[in-house]
Amino acid sequence: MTCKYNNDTETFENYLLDRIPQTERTDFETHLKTCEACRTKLEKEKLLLASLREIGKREMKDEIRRQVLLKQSKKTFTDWGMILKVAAVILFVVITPGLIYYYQYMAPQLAQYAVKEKTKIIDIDTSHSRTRLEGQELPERRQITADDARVNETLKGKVGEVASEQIIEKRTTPAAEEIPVSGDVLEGGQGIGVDRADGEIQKEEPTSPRQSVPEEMMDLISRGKIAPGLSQEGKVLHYEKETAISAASDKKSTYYQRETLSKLTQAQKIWQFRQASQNITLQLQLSDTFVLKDKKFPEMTPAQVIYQDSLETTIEWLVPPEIFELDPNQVTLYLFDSKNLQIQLPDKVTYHIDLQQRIQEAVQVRP
Amino acid sequence: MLKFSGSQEKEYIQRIKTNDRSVLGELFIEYQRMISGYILKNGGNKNDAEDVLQETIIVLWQKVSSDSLQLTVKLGTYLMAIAKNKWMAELRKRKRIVSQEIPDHISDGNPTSLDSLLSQEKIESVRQALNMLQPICKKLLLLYYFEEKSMKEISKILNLANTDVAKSKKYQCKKNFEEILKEQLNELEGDIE
Repeated sequence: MTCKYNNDTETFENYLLDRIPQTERTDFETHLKTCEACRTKLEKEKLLLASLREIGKREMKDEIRRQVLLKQSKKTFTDWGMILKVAAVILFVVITPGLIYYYQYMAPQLAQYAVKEKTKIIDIDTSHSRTRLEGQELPERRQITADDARVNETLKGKVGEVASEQIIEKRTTPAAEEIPVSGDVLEGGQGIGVDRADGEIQKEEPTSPRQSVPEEMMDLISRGKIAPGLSQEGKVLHYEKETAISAASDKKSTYYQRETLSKLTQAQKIWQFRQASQNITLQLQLSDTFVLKDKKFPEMTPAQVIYQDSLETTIEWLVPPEIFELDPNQVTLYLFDSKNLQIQLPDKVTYHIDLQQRIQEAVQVRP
Repeated sequence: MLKFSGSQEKEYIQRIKTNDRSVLGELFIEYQRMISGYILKNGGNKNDAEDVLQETIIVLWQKVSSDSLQLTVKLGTYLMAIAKNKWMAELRKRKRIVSQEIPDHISDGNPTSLDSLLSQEKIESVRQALNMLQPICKKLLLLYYFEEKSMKEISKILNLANTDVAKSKKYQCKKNFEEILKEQLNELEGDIE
């Protein structure tokens, strides 16, 4: 007798997995009672399926365990996050009033005892950058002579009239045939324009406009008494303007840039520094009074405290061109006791200003 | 069919139906306190509680997967009922093992019951044989025999063309599995025969 379930493994599986209808189940169970081979096969299938299910169960248990551990570790992390947040809030609540109190009441008192605090540059505002001709040497300082005084008197009041409307020429690339221009023009009406004359008459061949300059004026220029570009009658200025036009007509105008005289008279540079809560502003005024010998800076230069309170200090400082042209990033400020300011320039050149005195001098000190 | 009041419970069931296995850990954490409390109060320890809860969740997974769950109570109540039954069975099993010599495998008397106690060696042998199969075969066999998924769901999960392809694949995989088992695990084969 052939067993009808001999090759029907699916029935064994469905029976074990409880996936067959009740009538079919009853028939199969009836058959099992009389079929030894099917009982053996059923047992074999049962063990196989039991093993598979046991493995499946274990793997799923492992998966649950992994997921739980992962979630719990995340939860722990979140708890730490909460703890940190709470700690931050507590610190903020406690420390902020303390800091406010410190800066409002304690810091000003402690500042008196503070020692040498470095400053930082916060902003640099240059209203005008002074220009010099390449290779131009600074002249030595001269004593004002009687002739100078006379020329000053002559110039007084005249320069201001012409300053706003005159145009001077500034050469970026020296040309041998052009007359160099000093650019050292002080504010009109002050009559100090003769203190420094950078430019000398070059050895170029005189052009026709130049010949229109009066001889006495040329003499003053050549002796350094007045700067080219300033004259009693303004003829020199006209002369230079004409030279430029003439040069332009000779297709040499690329060597020229134009600036108005009024711009040049505002020779001021502003350095701003911040130290703790205090802003220090140095308004540099270009001075021709100080002439450097062998690159040595003057022992003292005028300085004036324009404004000062606990947060702001503004100082006007008359400086030689070398300081005026420095990169402020190379400058370091030291504030001592909120009263004494030291300005350290490159090469350890250091000036000291007493902030308690409104009109003071910046005195060069050893760093 | 399923009738759960809470939207969270409905979401759990829906996720099981869509084979979202990440729900396993969430279910464990959600019902851990309730079921562990019961096990610990009834002679079990922390490991017992963890084991029972895991098995309870597995039963839920199998029931939902095979679409054989009809429930009109809360999911927590249902899980607690399963956990109680599991723990009682475990206690009975332990009692029986203590009083008797440990057999190679134990059947609970039900001819269709697959909850036999298999020896660790045999389970490990089957696991090795299973791991020698192609990954898709292992997955298919576990989906069908352990998770009790239908062929339609299996074809969907394993991206098989249709139910017939899934059936054919299952037949092929099982045959391979038996062959590997016969060749490499003579001990198990001997037991089976």
